[in-house]
Amino acid sequence: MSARTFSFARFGRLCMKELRESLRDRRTVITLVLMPLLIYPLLSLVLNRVLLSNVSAKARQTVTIGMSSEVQGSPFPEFLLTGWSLLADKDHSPVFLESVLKASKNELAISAEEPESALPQPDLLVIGENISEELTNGNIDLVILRKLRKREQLPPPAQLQANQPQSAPSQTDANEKSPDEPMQSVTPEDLARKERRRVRREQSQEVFNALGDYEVQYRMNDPVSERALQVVERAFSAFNNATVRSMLGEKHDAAIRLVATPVSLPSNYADMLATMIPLVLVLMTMAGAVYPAIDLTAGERERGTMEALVVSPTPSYVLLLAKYSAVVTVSLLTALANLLAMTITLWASGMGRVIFGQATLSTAMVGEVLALLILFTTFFSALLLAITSFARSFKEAQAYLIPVMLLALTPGVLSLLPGIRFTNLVATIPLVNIVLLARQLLTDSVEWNTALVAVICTGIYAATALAVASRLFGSDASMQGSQGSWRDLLSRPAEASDYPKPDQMAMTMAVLFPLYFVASSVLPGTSEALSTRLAIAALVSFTLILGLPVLVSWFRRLNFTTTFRLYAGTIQQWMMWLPAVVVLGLSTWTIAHEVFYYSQMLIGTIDANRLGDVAKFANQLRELPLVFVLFVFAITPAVCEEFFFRGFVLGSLHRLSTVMAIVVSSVLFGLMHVLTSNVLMVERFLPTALIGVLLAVIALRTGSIWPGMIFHAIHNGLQFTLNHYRDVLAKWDYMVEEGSHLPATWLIAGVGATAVGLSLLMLGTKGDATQAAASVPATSDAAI
Amino acid sequence: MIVTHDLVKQFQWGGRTVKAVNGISFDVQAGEVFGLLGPNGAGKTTTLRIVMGLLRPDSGTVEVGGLSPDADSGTVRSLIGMVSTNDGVYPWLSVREMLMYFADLYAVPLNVARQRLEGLVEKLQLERFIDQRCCTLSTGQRQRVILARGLMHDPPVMLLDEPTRGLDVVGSQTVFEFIAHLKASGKAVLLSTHRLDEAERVCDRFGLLHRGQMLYTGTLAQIQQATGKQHLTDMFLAMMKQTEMELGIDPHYDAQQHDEVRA
Repeated sequence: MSARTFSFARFGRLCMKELRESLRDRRTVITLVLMPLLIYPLLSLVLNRVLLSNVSAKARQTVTIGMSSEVQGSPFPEFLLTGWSLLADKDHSPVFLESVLKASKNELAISAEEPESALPQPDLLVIGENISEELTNGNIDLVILRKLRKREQLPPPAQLQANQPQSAPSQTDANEKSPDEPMQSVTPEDLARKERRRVRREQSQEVFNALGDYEVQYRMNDPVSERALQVVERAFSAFNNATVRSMLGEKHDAAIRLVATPVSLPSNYADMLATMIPLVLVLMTMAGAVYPAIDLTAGERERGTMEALVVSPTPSYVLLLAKYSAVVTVSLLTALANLLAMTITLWASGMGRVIFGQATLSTAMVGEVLALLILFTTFFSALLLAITSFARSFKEAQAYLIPVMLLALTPGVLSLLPGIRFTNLVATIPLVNIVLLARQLLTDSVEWNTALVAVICTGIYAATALAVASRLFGSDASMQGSQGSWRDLLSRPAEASDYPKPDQMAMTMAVLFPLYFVASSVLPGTSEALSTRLAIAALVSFTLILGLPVLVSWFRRLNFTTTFRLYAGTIQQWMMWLPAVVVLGLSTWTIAHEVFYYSQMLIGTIDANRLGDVAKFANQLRELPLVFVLFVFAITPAVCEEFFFRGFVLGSLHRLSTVMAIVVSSVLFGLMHVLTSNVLMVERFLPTALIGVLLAVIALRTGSIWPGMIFHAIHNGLQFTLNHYRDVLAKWDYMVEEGSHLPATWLIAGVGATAVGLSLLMLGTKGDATQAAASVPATSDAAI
Repeated sequence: MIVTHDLVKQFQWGGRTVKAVNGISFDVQAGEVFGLLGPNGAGKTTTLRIVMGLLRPDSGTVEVGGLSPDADSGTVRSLIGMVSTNDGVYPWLSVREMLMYFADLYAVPLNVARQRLEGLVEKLQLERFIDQRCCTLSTGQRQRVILARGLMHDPPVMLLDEPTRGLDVVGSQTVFEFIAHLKASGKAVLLSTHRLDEAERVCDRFGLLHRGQMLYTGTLAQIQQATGKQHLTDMFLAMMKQTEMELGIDPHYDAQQHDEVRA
């Protein structure tokens, strides 16, 4: 058995070693076991403080209300108690619309239909001095002070007295005769009556004096104090209602009577928690992966075991895969431990009911979240390995990872924002997409389309990161030997070389992709006219897709002829090349069209709006000169993309096997087209990547980019030419509608012609690549 | 088993090109111990790395067992065992687990690996700590584990890069016995060291390396004759002086430069 042949048993043992190494390290165990044991109870304590203090405030039987002695001496306390006792009476109890809505919004566990009788009883207390202090230190929950200004517009005492609410204390003898009887001789009876009248007058004077404005002080954001305020507000509302009613007479019920029905609104609190929980889970999963990732890569170097590893015949990508499996496993174990700790905490603290309306997460939910964490960790572990593979020591790895962790935190916190929506575009942002998807899972409101975008994107990111990690890990020993560092990647070499190195390509890509994405979606927006926008887009293409690799090649002293495959070919060769690429250029679009159609079906983006936009755009294009349209959509991409993808990118991959080089360059080509517009066109990936494969084959077979360029220009140009002469073609019934199948005859003809073109290409290009290579004098014989 | 011809390797360092290895040729036969001798920065480690296929020479050729590391790196690597000063162990694995891991890296079938492990345990006296975690080992024990590691796939070629650095007399003695064992079992051994006294004891032939160039190759007697000196140390000092004078460079200054490149 050779070390290069893959055996699952052996790979399993290699993985086991990595796993053993990680799990036996107590530093891993700390993040794995101790952190979840600590973090969730702590988290729940903090949240309980916020959440459950609300609940305990509701459970209070009494609230203590402090009053100045002046207030206490007046009928005011009686008013308050009367109001409070009125609340229990269904007929007299007012409905508090505002508080009902507030209750359903913010106060989670408490039902909006809370009976008013559940309000705590006010416990009145006279406070002499230091009123504010008593309030702040919590001895009393509320303070009521008399405001000096009295109401002038109230009715005179007599009139008021007649209309006092029945249950008001001063009203006890309200059914007696009118006080306005004429005065007669003074008898003891008279005296007594007089006395009563005096008392009554005094009383009504007191009542009158007690009416007016009061100031209520309470502790802001303190649930108990706010509860006390609620009690006072409601009591006086009831009192006022009763007063008004008694003034209007018994037969009038109330001026306006509202019946409020609580409407259940999504609770903001629960919403935030539902996001925070996956965020914490994701962060903990990340934390779980960090240590093993560093230990298994940078750690190998620090321990001095790396060299022994890379001199072994086992390919470095196998080593990396074993390490990757270990990191993913540890990270998943961490995720599981966290999920378990969280579920238990939610259940034990009763917060699960608050957030999800049930005591704890359902098994299905836990499963879904776990699946999501698996997806996330496959991506994040690969990312970590890609970064730590560069590092020579633990310290260095940690220094690299700190910015990554901070960067990862930012989108995580962003996803906590209440306004953020889980759109297709957001679904492409790593980490944010996972957190938001988890939130949807937890609140059981998954949009499957968007979820799919998130899953696919994360998968792509994971594969990319793993590929990069694998390359970096493999290059390790030679980099150590030449003291390679990040700085070397940016310095200008002294000697020329024939091909760009893969890392140069990766860095060029890393600069190009985002720049192009931003430039092609922002710059054209600066002008209204379509022609100007298109011209700008073409300029952007030339500057970035063509200009950037040329600049890099110049800076890295690359041989332009070999890097960009500029071999011109002989006339004899062109006699074979030209027919092949023309036939292919005229025919392959049929296959691409069908693949595009199926991709659209798969992703579900065929909708009327989209088709309408496409049709509108096609109509606008018809109004422009065909030459201009062809320049923008056929010549520009053909020239720029061939230079970049079949020249620079494919050249940088020349050390890979032919199949791998073709696959990698085509995937990159496809990805570029997914990202080109501000709408993410995932459905463009497959057809474009397929064309990319064909273009790469043409370039490799002929050893030149020129035939591919011609194919590319014909392929693109044909579709725009057809569009231009659409009306003419439509007359002959030769038009294909966007978003539909091709007629079967077209497709058969297309496939047949493609087969012919391919045969021409394969037969007519034998030995051309070697000839192309021989025609170029090598710049250096050691292009490592 | 090892044949090198006119190896050249340059490094870019601080904008300057430094020739770490400059036209080195030598060969090592099966059952022979070849000493690659030279001061720090002479190019010993770079040469070993080229032989192993970790570095690609700028020019010149290497063959191990008749194969070029460039063309058939997998096979060539499985022909070579490597033990270096800087080698470490996995602190959390037991000695047995670590050695079996390396057997897997070289795709040694499990039963063969177990048998070989038994043999190595006996040869290098690993019984006492074979199931201990590597982090508990002493320096001497560690060195024995590393020597055993190099032999888990029973390679016909052994490369030893300063195997006695940092070892005491007893430790060094183990290494010498190990080398004698390798020689007796017919392996081609390439030993790089700057300890000339040691080299004199264990090597059959020598290559004297200085500033990336091979100054002399041959048996001790041949070199003694060529230089007129009795001991390697004397030969070396004389030889270094001579080259420095020829080149007109301060030896200390430049040796440092080389060190940086090598580090």
